[in-house]
Amino acid sequence: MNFIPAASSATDFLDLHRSVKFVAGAYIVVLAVILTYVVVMAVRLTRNQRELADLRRLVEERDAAGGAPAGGEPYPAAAVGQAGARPERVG
Amino acid sequence: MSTHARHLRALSIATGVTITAGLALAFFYAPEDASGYIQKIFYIHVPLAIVSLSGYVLGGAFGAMYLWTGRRIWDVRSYCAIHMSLIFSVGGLLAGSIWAKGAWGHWWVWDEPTLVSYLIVILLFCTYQPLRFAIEDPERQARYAAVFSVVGGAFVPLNFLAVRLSTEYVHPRVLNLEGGNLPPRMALAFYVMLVGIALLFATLMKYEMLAKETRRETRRLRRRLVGEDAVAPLRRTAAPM
Repeated sequence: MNFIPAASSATDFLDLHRSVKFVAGAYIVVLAVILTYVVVMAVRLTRNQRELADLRRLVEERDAAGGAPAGGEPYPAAAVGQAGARPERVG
Repeated sequence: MSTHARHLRALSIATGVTITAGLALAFFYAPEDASGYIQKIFYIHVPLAIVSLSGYVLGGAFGAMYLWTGRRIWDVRSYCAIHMSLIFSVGGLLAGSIWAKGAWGHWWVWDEPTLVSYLIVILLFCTYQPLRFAIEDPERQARYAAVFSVVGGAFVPLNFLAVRLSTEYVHPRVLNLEGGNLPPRMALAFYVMLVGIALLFATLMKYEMLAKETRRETRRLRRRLVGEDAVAPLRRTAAPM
C-alpha cells in the first residue's frame, strides 16, 4: 500500500472525531501494558535493593566485629530474614 | 555499581527524549495519508512489532552464546530479551488490532498472513516460560531454553520472509528493499519512534537484568551471613538463577 496524501473533504471532521478514539485507545493500551510492567519491575527492584543494602550492612557489621565465631552462627536466620522479609524467590 | 546499573540513567534519559521527540514528530510534523488521522497508530504499532521481532532474534543469539560459552549471563540476557519481546508484542498486537478495527472494521482477520504469522510467533514464544518452568535443574533449564530460543529466533526471519513472498496480502508495507514508500516527513517520525522503542527495549531489559542481579547478590549475601542450610531453598521458577 502506498501512502497517499490526505485530501480535504467535508467529512474530514467526522473522520477525525472517529479516528481520535482509536488513536487514543491504541496509545493508551500500549502505555498501560508497558507501564504495568515498569511498575511491577520497579516495586520488585526497590524491595530487592533495600534488602541488599540491609544485608550489606549486616555483613559489614560482622566483618568489623571480626567475622563469624567458629562453629557458631553470627546472625540468627530470622534477623537476616527480616532484611529480606520474604523467602527466596528468583524472578 | 553493577554493570547493568552503570549506564541505566543515561539510557533512560535517552529513551525518554527520543520517544518524546518521536511522538511530537508523529503528531505535529508528519502529514496524514489517505487513511486519515488513524494512521498515527502506525508510529507506535510498527516500531513495537519490529523491535519485538528483533528481540526474539536477539534472544536466540544470546541463547547461542550461552550454548557456546556456558556462561550464565547469556542465559539471563536471552531470558530478558524474550520476556521484553513478549511484552512489546502484546502492546504491538493490541495497537494493531485497534488500528484494524478503525481501518478495516474488524479487530482481527484470519486470512491476513502478516497478522496470523505474527500471532504464531507470539504463541511460539509464549511457551518459552512454561518450558523453563517445567525443568527444575537450573543448568538443564538454561540449556534447553537456549536451544528453544535459537530455534525460535531462527523461525522469526524465515516466517517474515515467507509472508513477504506470499502474494495475497492487504496489510500495508512500510519497509522494502528499495527503502520503503514513506514520504520524508513520515519517514523521519517513523525512524525516530523506531529508535525510541528500541531504546525503551534496551532500557527495560537492563532494568530486568539489574533486578535479577540484585536478587542473586541478595541470596549470596544471605548465604554468607547465615550459612547455606539456613537459607530457604529456591522455589521452582522460570527465571534464570
